[in-house]
Amino acid sequence: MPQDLIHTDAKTEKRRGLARNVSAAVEALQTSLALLAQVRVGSPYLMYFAFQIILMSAYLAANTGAAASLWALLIGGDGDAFGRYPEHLLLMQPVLNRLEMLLDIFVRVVFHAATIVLVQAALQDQALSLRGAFVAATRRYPALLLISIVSSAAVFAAVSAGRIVSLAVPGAARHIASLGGIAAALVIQALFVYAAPYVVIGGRSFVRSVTGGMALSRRLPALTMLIVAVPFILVIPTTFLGLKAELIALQLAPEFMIHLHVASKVMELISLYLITAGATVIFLKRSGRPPAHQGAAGGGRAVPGSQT
Amino acid sequence: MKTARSAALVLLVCGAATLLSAGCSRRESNPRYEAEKALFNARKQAGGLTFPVLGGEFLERALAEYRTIIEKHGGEAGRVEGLEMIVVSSQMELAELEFRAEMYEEARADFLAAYEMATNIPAARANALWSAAYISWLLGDRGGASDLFSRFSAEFLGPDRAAATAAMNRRYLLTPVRLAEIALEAEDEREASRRLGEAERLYRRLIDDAGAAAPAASDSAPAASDPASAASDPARLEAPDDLLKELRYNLVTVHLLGGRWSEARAAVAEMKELYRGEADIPGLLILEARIENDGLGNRRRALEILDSLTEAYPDSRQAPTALLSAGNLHLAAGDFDRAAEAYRKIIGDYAQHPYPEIVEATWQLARVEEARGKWLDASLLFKSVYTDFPATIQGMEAPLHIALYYRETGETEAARAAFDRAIAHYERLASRQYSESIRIVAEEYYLRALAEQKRWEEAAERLLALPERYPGYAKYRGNCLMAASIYEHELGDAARALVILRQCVSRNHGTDLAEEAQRQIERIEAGQ
Repeated sequence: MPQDLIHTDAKTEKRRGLARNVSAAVEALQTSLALLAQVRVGSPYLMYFAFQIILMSAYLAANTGAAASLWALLIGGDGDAFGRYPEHLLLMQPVLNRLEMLLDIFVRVVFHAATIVLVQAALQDQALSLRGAFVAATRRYPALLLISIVSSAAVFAAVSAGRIVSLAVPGAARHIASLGGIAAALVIQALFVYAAPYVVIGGRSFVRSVTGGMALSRRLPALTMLIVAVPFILVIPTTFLGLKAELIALQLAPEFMIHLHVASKVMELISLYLITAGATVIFLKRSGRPPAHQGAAGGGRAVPGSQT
Repeated sequence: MKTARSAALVLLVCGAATLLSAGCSRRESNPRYEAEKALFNARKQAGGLTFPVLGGEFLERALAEYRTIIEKHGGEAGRVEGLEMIVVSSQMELAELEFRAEMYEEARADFLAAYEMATNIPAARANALWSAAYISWLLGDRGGASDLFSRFSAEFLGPDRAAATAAMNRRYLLTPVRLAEIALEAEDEREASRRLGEAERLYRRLIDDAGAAAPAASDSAPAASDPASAASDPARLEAPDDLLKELRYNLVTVHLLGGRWSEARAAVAEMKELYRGEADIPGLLILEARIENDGLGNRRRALEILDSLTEAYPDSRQAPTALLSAGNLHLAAGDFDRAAEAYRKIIGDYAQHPYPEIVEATWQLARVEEARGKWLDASLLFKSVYTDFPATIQGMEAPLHIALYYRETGETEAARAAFDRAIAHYERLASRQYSESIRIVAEEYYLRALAEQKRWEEAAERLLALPERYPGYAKYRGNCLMAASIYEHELGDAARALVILRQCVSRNHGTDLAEEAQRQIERIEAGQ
């Protein structure tokens, strides 16, 4: 049948395109989840989660003296409040949020990169130890750190701008401004989501990885947004609970802050893994390094960084 | 093999994190932190009690939480910084909760314990002592109240401390007035006069001091924001004019209690000159009218003042009060028409406000119609009182009043139907949809209706059922004595009275109530 006899209007084509993107996103997320059968793939983020729990325990246990002064340094004021109940528990959220914001920029980036390396190795049926993944990740630390700083600053600026605008406008516009800030943050995250794979797998410099990552995001806008937005949905419940955490804690029990913190870290762990692994899967497919089990004839490197 | 090693490593890391977390969570014991946590939980329990008087399990739990803090941390209060405040707060809150639950004896004992504990916390010490004195007065223990108020006066109202005490709570300044009232209740005129003299000297001294401090305070306004200077002179925390006004009102109270009507009138006249605002004048006019009528016997002048108030300040809160007072003066003089006119004006002009004067005016209007012999009109008004304002005292009284009227006029059938309606009304008000205080008053009226009909057995059984319905309401615990008395005296059933009293002893073992019940048992048995 001649092609011109098949009726395809723009709307139908658009719908098909969206369906293809959804299908590709689902496939990438499914692949990411399937990779967890190899325990080491999820290990870096699990280790980071364990580190966060240890940090929380340290906060809970050390609430007087030098430790209290350290916590006070993060949120201002004196350390007295940390030795008091329920203030000690109510202050946990702001203190750990600020501390973790710094750790996320400077430390988590290594665990993020190690996950990318392990996902690549798993997809291309290469043998790579956890230690090897961390070694590879640490080698690219300067570029990764720069990406982390720039992307975090941009996300923070977008959310803050939304918050500032929401405070200045009344009624429904306030919610629209807040949501606008969050949507802008998601778009920024989508623009930077391939930068780390470019650094770790592609071995590119900071500038080239960011531009390359952004170009890939622009080529695959719907797919990239889906990969970023779907896992984001997972953290919405705990984020909303966090907004009213103090009120709920005072009504129920201040210990609710501990439960909420652990719950939000668990959801964050899952969400982060899905975004990182999902983006890596797409990156490998689109950058000519197809996964081995999908018919690619090798091509990937066990220890990235040597490719030019 | 490698997967197994990775899994083992991950498990090891997570396990280590869990163990470390658990280890860290077992914090080094910090008494202040623990006490604060316990106090928070106790407050949460107490805060959840909408009607503490209903008590039961929740009240007991809240009380137990407070007692645990006091027992556990009381000993180390002086040794750990900040712990004394927590223990004293717990003791005060325990007493306040008991007071709210109408456990007056327990509340008084706990306030006194708080007074002893709070040696370094003057505000709590003053509050505890004053509260204990007030509860003694509430319990009818004049001697105890007098002792405690005297102790308060000596400790907190001396020349050097009165201003600081007034800054804590102005009601403390009424202590010598309370002492005078107690003496008057005991018909000890000499003591009352002595206490009123003390009160007058206190208020005059404070008026002089506040008057002198007023310009100084306004000159150095920025210093007031300095907490250190404010703490050293708490009187400066208040607006001096506000304190002065309250002191002048207290002085008028002293004159009124002492029956020094001319001085009271002069003081009110002086205040009218000083406070010309709409916020003060209507209240002062009400006071002036009362002095004229109650003190100086000048009814006409009192009516003139009340009329001037309603004309000049019809929208003031005191306007319906003035109309009600005028109506009552007309009623007392037998001028039914003018009394009815005043009551109708309240009902007509202030119906949109939730003022208690409206229900009182309706009640009084019904009484006027009854006095005029217009029972049909009166009964309709009484009915509107209990249908429109069921939860008020007049709303409780009205159905019983109607029933008693029919009984007195010999209309037996109408009286029986009216009593039934009254009982149904009280039963409805005693249901769970109403607040605790309304339910308790409705129960009292229910019993009264039964007693009026001499339905003694039902009254006694109702009395015995009440402690279970209101487990936290301490007053009902003594119902067994009343029920036994009904069986013994009204129903002539001493055996049932003995059974009730024995149950009373076993249920209230070790209490004053059990002792009294035991005495009654011995008396009845001796009689048999």
